[in-house]
Amino acid sequence: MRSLIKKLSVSLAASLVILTNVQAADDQLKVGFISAFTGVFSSFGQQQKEGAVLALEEANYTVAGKKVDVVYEDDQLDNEQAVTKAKKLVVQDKIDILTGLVSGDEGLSVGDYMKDKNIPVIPMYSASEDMTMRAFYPMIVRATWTGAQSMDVFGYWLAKVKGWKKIYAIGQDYSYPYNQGGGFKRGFFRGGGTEVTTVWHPVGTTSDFSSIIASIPTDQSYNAVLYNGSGGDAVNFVKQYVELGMLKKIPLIGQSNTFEKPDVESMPEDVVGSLSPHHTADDLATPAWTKFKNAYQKRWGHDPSAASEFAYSSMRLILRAIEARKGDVSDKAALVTAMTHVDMSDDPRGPVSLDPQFHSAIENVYIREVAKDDKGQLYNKGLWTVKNVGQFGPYDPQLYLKQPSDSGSYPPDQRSALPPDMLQAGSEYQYVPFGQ
Amino acid sequence: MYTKFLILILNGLTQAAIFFVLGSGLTLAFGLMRVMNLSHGAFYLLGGYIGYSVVHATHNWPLALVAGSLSIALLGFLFERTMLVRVRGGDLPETLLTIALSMIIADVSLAIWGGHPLTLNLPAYLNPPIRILGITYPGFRFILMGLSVLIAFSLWLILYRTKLGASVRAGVDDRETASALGVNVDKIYSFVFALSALLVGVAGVLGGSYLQLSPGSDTTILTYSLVIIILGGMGSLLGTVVSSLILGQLLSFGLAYAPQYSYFLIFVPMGVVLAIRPQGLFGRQV
Repeated sequence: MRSLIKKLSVSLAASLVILTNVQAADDQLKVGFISAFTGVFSSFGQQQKEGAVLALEEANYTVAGKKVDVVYEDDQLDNEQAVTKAKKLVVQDKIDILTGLVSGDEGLSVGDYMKDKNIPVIPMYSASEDMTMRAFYPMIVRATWTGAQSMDVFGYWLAKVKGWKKIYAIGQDYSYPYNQGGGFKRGFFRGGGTEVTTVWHPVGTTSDFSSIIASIPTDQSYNAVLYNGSGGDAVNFVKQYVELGMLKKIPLIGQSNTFEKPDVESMPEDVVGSLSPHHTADDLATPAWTKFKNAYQKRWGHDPSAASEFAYSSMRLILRAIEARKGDVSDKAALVTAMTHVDMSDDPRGPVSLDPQFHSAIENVYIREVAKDDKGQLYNKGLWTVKNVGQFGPYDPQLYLKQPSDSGSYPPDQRSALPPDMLQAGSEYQYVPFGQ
Repeated sequence: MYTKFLILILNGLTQAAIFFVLGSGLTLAFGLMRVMNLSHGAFYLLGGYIGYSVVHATHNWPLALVAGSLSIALLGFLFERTMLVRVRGGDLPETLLTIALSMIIADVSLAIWGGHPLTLNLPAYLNPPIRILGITYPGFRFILMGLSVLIAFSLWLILYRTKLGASVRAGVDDRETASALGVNVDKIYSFVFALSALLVGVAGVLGGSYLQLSPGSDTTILTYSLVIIILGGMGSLLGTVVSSLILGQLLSFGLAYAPQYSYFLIFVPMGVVLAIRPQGLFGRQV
């Protein structure tokens, strides 16, 4: 028995040596990919993975002669799990780059853990602005978005162009909707809106929203109800909003993810016409988008969403930067610099460039409405485009950074409670008809 | 103000209806077998998913209800006969086995139905907008309440008006004596476990029709189910009725007046009951 144990441990040790050798092989590089493949945001996690895999397959999993090995980890949308998985990827898998990250809180906690690891962190869909603002460090490159970025454009437009004054906002209680709601309020108040009454509910545990919906005051001249949430919660909310007859009383608008594919496909047709902003629109007709959309449909059998495009785009950024470094990933600072210099003018969702200081994206914002295609399926149809929107929107970055982080209670619900200098902007948005 | 209250109360009753169907099966199985079936939430999810596929293929909702619930009943029966029976009496192995099953079901469901939230489409005749006392309310929710009452009544009939029910109750009170008096406890166990699975299968199809199904619903539902039966008292049907009504209204009014704390709120009565009456409102001293 003892000799058997001895034999076993020797062979185990031997195999470990072999394993570590394989990991350290020169012709291979490792990318860690953390996301929520299960849980209330699993559809976003899945879309993200599909987008990234498409980019990798197009490159044949090879860049500059090196094989790209991706290690996927599911954190079930649990921040502690996410950090544990990050630790595993860093210590055990010895990854060269960390990417994935689908939700706001997830990004912030993994970002915090990765702070001193000297490994580039490329968040794909996680959009809490602080990751590329107040909690930024040079290893972070987010070529995608922040929550406030599209919502400021949207809120301003609703107030300025549509003349809306009062909004009733119901949102999921965590960092990404805080940031989306924050952007919305700033834009809405700057455009002349006076009030955004805000209510928060816990994520993923509230399945019956009918009581929240029944509490919306129908006699206080709200111009619209903003559902500031996404994923399964959004499907539930929208369904019940229609069923309880509220849609006939107050129009419904969404944050960027509320009506995203594929969730919008499970919503009742009544929501046709509902507005939301994002950095993609399903009916973009540019050659880059069409090429991406066709390839994606061919590979996965369904339409892409913003989450899949962002992942595709981020993975391409990673591959292009490694290409530019001729496969050398040992100098992480140089790798990050290469990432910030990657040309993303051919990105499917429109031209993207990176802010050199905070490594965040400058890109198009589209205002969209839910529409029905000839097969009867719901999608997001572009209405207006605003070009070259950065994470600070029209504001002076210094002034913006002096404001507190967006939270459940900031920005305030009333225009009058917002610092007056935030009501002024350096430059104004240009709303161009979609497709021009 | 009055219409809002009315809607909130109706919402609470709808929640209570689902809660009761969820809790009744679990509490029966626990009362008799002392098995805490932690795959209850996964059964719910799977039942809903099967119902979804049936509705998708046949556009026949009643058929989906039957298919979803019967297939889960069958699954429960087979699971009890082939696996649970081997570890009977061992608290830890039983718990681990049911957890293992729940994980397997969750992963298999993810592979088959994917991660997107799904909803069973209700035919219009099952969900007419109903105008009552000055408000409009989805008709399906009334059907839900009706079904729940019907299930409660049937369970009461089975338990208190049939020989089978008498055996079940005897088994709950004193297994050894019942067994010595000629009650085939093994058969009763299988029956009750399959019944419990059937009920949660029904809950899955009902819940999947008015809410939505997605990976992760299983754990949320399991949590709700546990809170319901701990509050009501494990093994007590009446307790489940009362705790479902309490929790339903609490959740409904909580969502209206303190949505941020609504999830936390449902644990409050459980905490209070555990502190002063650990066996639950209608539970027996164990």
